[in-house]
This record gives sequence, C-alpha cells and structure tokens, in this order.
Amino acid sequence: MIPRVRSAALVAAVLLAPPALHAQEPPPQAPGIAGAVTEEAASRSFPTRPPYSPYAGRSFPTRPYFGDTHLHTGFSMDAGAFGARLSPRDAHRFAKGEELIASSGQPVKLSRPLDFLVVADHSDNMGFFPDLRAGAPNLLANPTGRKWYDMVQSGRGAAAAIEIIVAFSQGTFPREILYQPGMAAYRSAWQKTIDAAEAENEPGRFSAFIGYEWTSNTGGNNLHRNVIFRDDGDKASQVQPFTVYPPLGSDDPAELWKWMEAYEEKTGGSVLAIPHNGNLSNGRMFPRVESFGRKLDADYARRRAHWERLYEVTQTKGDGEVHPFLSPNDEFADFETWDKGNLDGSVAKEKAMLEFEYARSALKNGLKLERDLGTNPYKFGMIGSSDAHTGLAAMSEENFLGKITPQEPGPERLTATFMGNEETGVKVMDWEVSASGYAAVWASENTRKAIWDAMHRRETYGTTGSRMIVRFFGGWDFEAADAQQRLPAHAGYTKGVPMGGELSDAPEGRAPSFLVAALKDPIGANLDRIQIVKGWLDDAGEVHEKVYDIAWGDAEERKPGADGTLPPVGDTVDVAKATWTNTIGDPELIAVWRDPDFDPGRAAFYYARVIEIPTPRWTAYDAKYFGNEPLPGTRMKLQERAYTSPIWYTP
Amino acid sequence: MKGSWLRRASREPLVHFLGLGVAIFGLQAWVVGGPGETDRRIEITRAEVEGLAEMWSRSRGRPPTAEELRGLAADRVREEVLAREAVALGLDRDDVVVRRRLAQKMEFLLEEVASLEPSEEALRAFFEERADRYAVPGRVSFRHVYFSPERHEDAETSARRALEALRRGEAEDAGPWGDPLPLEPGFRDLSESDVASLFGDGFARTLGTLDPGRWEGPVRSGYGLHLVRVDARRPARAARLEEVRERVLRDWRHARREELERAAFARLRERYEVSVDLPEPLLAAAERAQR
Repeated sequence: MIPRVRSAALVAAVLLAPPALHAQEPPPQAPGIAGAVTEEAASRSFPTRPPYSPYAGRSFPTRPYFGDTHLHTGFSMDAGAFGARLSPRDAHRFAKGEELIASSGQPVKLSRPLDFLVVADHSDNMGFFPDLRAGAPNLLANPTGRKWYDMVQSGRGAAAAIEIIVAFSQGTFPREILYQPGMAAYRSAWQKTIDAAEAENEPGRFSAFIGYEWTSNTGGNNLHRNVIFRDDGDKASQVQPFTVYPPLGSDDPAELWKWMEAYEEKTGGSVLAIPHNGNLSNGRMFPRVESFGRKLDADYARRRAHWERLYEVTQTKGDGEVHPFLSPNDEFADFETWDKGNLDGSVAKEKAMLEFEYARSALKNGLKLERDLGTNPYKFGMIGSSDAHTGLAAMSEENFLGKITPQEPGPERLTATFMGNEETGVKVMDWEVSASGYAAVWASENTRKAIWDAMHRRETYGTTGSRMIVRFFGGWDFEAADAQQRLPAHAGYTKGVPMGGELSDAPEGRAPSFLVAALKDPIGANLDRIQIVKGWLDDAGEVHEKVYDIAWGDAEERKPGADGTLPPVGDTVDVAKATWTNTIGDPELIAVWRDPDFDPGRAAFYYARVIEIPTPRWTAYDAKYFGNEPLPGTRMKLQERAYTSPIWYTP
Repeated sequence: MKGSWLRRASREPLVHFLGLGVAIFGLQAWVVGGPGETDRRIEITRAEVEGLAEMWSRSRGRPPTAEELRGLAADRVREEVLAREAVALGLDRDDVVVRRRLAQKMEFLLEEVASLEPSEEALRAFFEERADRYAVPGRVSFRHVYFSPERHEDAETSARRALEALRRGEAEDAGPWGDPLPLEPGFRDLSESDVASLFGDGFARTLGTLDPGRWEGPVRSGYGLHLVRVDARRPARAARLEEVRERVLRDWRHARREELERAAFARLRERYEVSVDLPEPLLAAAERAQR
C-alpha cells in the first residue's frame, strides 16, 4: 500500500503547485467555428492562467456531500405495510428539497436539500405492497395475504407490518405470494426503481443512485446489506436484484458477493455492499470463527474486504460504533444503544454476542484475522444513514419525520411501542428510535461515479444527523503548524492520506501523526471535542483500544484533570422549550496529534470521533409541540457525533 | 367497412393476445388430449431446462451447478404434475390467481405497445409547462476569509481591520489574515443552495446582495465572521430545451407511459358493463378506521 500513499502525495503536490488564488475573469468565449484559428484564438480556448480555485474540480475533494444510502419507500413490503405510500421518485424529490405530503397526510420538507440518495428497497417482495394495498386478487386468494389485507384495510397496518417482517424473518412467508425475480410484477417494480433514479439524477446537483437492500434475516438475525450501483440504468436493468428466499435467493452473504461479481462480469459495471445493524444480528454480523457453517478462511476475508467497503455505523435502529460493555472506559460509548435482542425480538441479547456486532470490536478483530488469514475482512469505512421506511430522509432532531409511517410526527410516538415480542419480553419503544443518520462523502464532484468512487476508497464519515464537516488525515510528517494554515486540507493531501487510507513502512523512530479538523453544522450546535480512537494488536495477538481527546472547545478554561479526563463541556439545553445556545463549545476545532504509544511492529487503526455540545433530542421537540408527557426514562437530549473512516497502519 | 374493422383488430394487442391464447389452448388440447384423460408422459425439453437455467442465472448472476440444475428440473416436474392434476379437476376455472396472472401479462402488453417518441412541438410544450423544474440555478464564485469568534478578543474588529487593508490594496489576497477552516477559501460556480448548505441561509442571502469585485463584510455565517469578495455571479435563469433535452425526454416518456396505460385500460374497460355492489356499512367502517 506504500505506492498508494506516495502517489496520493505526489498528485496532491502537483495539483497544489499554484497555491495562491488568482483574480478571475469571466471564462473566455470559444473562438467561432468560421474564424481562422489564430494563435490568439487558440490560446484563448486554452487559458494559461490557472483556474480561479486551484482545488475546485480537481482530483481531490474540496467539500463533503451529504446523503442517505439507505432509504425505503412504499415499494418495500414492510414499509408499505406500515402505510408508506411514497414512491422512489417521491423520495428523490424530497431529498432534493421539494415539499411533499407525507404518507400520514402532513406537509414535509428538509431544512436543506441532500446531495445524494440511494433508494434501497428490500429486494425480496419488492413491489409487493402496492399490490397488497390495492387488493391484488393473487394476494387476496391466499389466506395469509387476505388476513394482511384485512388488517391494513382496517387501519392495523403497523400490526400487519410486524407480522410480515416476522413471517419473513422466520421463513414462514407464504411462498405462493412471494414477489421474486422472474415475475412480471417484480420486474416492473425494479424497473420503476431504476426509472425513478434515472429521472431524478442531475449530475452536478443531485446524484440519485440505483440500489436495493438484500435482507438476510434468518431467525430474525440482521445480516442486511445495501447494494449500491455506480452505474446508470442501462447496466442495472440488465439484472434483477439478488433476493434471500430460496431457491432463487440465499441468506448467505457469500452468495450475494457471487451475485455482485457476476453483475460486474456481465455488465462491466461496479457495485458495492454496505452492511448495517450488527447490533440486531445477535453476534453474527462480524464473525471471527465461522460463517454459515464454514470456517472463515483467506477467501472469505478477501471477498468481504473486496465487496464490503463501508459499514453503516449509525441509523434509526440504534448506533453501532461501540457498546459500553465492550468499552467500559469510553464515557461516550453508550449512545442510542439498542441491545435488547435481534431484529424481530425473537431472541434476547447475551453479552457474549456484543463483540461480533459493533464496528470498533470488528475493526479490532479484523487486525487479528489479518494476522491469521493474510487479509483483514473488516477494513471498512464508516457512513451513517437513515433506514427510514417513509420515503423521507429527514434525520435532524428538530425535523425527525420518523422511521416508519405510523411514527411520522404525531402525539402517539412519544409513548407508543415500536415493537415487542411477548415470548422473549423484548420490547422497544418509539422514543428509543434514533433520529440518525447521514453519510458524508468527500467526492471530487456530485456525480454517481465520483461519489461511488469516494465510497469505494472509504473517504467518508457518518454522522448522527448533523451536517458537520470533518477532515482526517494520517501521515508521518504532520506538524503543529499544519493546523494553523487557512486551508489545512492542503497539508493533509500533500503530506498524508485521507480517512479510509492506509499507512505502512514507518520511518525509523517516527510515530504516525494525524491532522484533524472539524467544523460545526452551519445551522447546528457547537463542537464539544474531537477524539481519536486507536485500536491495536499486541505481540500476544490480543487487541486493545484507547480513546484520546485531542482538541476541545473552550480550551482556555477547560483543562484535563489529574487523571487526564477532560471535564464535560456543559449543557445549555432547556428541555421544556427544546432550545440550546452556542455559548459553550467551539464552532471549529483543529489539531495535529502524534500517537504517543506507537510501536512500528504492531498493526493498528485510528479513526476520529467528533462530538457536539448537548442539544435537545427529537423527543424534546415532540413533547414541546404536542404538549404531552414523555414516558419515564425517555432520553430528552443528546450529543450528536460524527465517525470518520479509519486510517490503518500495517507493519 | 369490414376490412377496416379487421385491420384495426389486427393491430389490437388484445386480439394478438387472445389469438395466441386460443392457439396455445388448441395446441395443448391436441397434444395433451384435453382434461379428463391426463397424459401420463411429462417431457421437460432442453429448451425449457435452458430457460430455467437462464432465469436462475438472471437472479443469481451465475449459472446453476449440476446439482442445482437437477433441483430446478425436479421442481419443474413437480409443478407440471400438480398443474395437470389441477387442470384435470377444473381448478383453473374461476381461479383468482390465474386471472391475476393473465391480467398482469396484459398490463405488460399494454405498456410495451406504447409509442414513446414525442414530436418536437409536444416535447417543447411539455418542457415549457414545467420550466420551473428545469431552471438553471444561479451560481456564484467568491472567496472569503474566516474570523473565528474563539480566536480573537473581538473578531469583528479584527475583520474590519483586515478589510481596510484589503481595500487599500496592501495585499493582493487575503492570505495573511484569517483563521483555519476546513472549508475552501474560494469557491467557483457554487449554486445558491450549495452556499446555503455550506455556510447557512443568512450568509447565502447576504452574498446574493454583494457587488462583485470588491472585498465586503464582515458577513456572518453559521461559523463566525467572513470577509467576502464575489468574483462572478451568474443569475438563475430558465433553461434552454437543448441543455436539458435528455431529462425532459425522460420525463415526457414517463408521463406519456402512465397516460397511455391509463388510456389503454380505459378503452378495455369500456367494453364491459360493470356493476360492483359495495356494502355501505363496510365502507363506513373503513372510513372510520382511516380517520
């Protein structure tokens, strides 16, 4: 991986050669076709003056694009059952900033448009729901289909949705009414998904991606992956999505990877897959020993690392970075935690499962597996996304439009049950649903290809709904002065690799240094602190982790105590009024940090976590608006955060 | 008259479809011998097996293994056995599933016969009706210098001092002033909504009022204060059809397809005298539930 580091630095150096900004004139007119090509005319069409901004439009990115890689519409069978009527096309329009009428009948709009969106409807039974709602006779002819239809018609859509999800999870979904590839109705739903993305895609302004969710869920254990196409509809429509139900589908991720490989071979296109919600997989998302009855081997590791470049680390069904049981010394570890059971609550959680569910422990186990298998299967970058089933990618606390249609704003959602399983006693309340998150991508421009390429090289970070801007670079030569320049990214790209990159070949006596900069959401809260999370492998093959505070707000008066702990930033939240003030924390933070405990012989990873000052949670906005009483124990404030993709060091 | 009726009929997809159905039915009756005396011979032809393999490949993205292929064939045989027994028992008649499948096939036929090339005038009219949707957003090129409220005793005074120096022409560029920011010091051709996304609405609004070619400010953003110099501005404008032809064409086709589907169905629907008896109490209950 050294060539990668060097070439990135070289490219950056060449591009940065004209560092000053130059006065700009309107772009010259191209010479008329009829005119003779004089030298003057020719030179006018090839201006020698460098462009106004030496960085804009160049091969490295100057701004992050925000989007959602995981949004369901009424085409998803469960979303439809929950009452979602919006189509993929509606979803793209909403993401672009248009005002719509939500499925619940209320007008909705984003505070700011998103830059991209992947409509990722479930591949199994895609298009099933619009038919069930319409009472398609084939569905009514089946006793279970008839029952679900009746439930939906009598206003018990949410209960029907739960039954549908459970039936699907437990493999009891009636085979006769399964919508699957090869069927006319199925093909039509997939083609409509593609058409919607094609129609709403506007290179340079909004990237509408083609994608789907492959929903492996055997026994209720969540092994879902979102599949995202780099390509346009001409390629994507040559295939139909991979499903889970046998015999056409499979619940084994290795079979999905084969499908992906075959797609690329057939069309010359590119796809990647993003797993999510390891927290609901009951110990199966990041295995260390075996997967689907086969011992993990070099081939598994290579394939997983090849196809699964990113992990969706935060979303409405809980945060997946870390669990307090796994990281008792991390004071921010318990954030929007969902640890009661698997996806349908059919099996309760056991502590031993947690290690194989969270991103940080997977990154650590990846180092172990790399030593044993030669490849690290868990070398993934981070993004956040919504997994909303409403067609509405609205994940900010003050404009949280819900995870499912019955949870769109209304007086019930502060006290209603999200899902429960009477047998196991697993019960999740609506208030526990998290208004999270978004994917931030450092792409060179807003096109499908540029954004997909940035995802593939892991130059991404996930946020819990905030649109803060985060830079993270690693290299051997960063100095404190690099953090004082007006544009830290210059030093970042010139001297190191960005988030998602890799380091090796440590110079004698040097430890890696990191340049981190964060800027608050322009309409959001100030920043509490930037942390760097390090994980490493020791000589005995054990893995360790440590969280360092490296920059924080109000630094003049806020100093770490004798034990090295930084005092809390404070709290200005008025829960009753659902307000806060930016009188604490800082709008921007920047620092260079060198690993004080570096051992060049040990593999390690580093990622940045940026934490905002406390703000009202969506529950506080709800309580204020609807004037109702939250249940005891309801969390009413939170500290939003961002997680960057790691930078890995390999000896 | 008769001739023209026939010609018209011969263009009707429904007629094609029914004709094909009659032909298949006739063929089947002749080959199988009709219901009641079920043929005991089942032959899954090579072409059929290839079809099964093709369908598998399309959904799996790879050809089936030998074992999987044998499994697919066995499934097909099972289906055939059961289907023939079902036909023998007359289960295909008055069956909603069968009916639905036929209806679906018909819908497909309707979709595919739709002609989807607009005339130039039709496309232009469609485009002009929706001019807002295709408008080219305004864009602005500007540079800025950031003053952090945390790094100055009084960021406003620092910013004003820097502004005077810039205006006096003491420096060509704002390099020496200002604080680090993880955002570019200059942007080219940023759309108005992007400015708002990156700096906040208030900043975007103020930026829209500044005259080009002169340092101005300080302007407040979501982060702090900025000196700003607008270098060029291109106002929002209506698009020319040529610039957005592909998008318009796609939207036109989308709209047209929906329209044709509706119309085709309406034509078919007209041939039937329909009566549906919706029980009032049921409707009332449904409406109550909806509320």
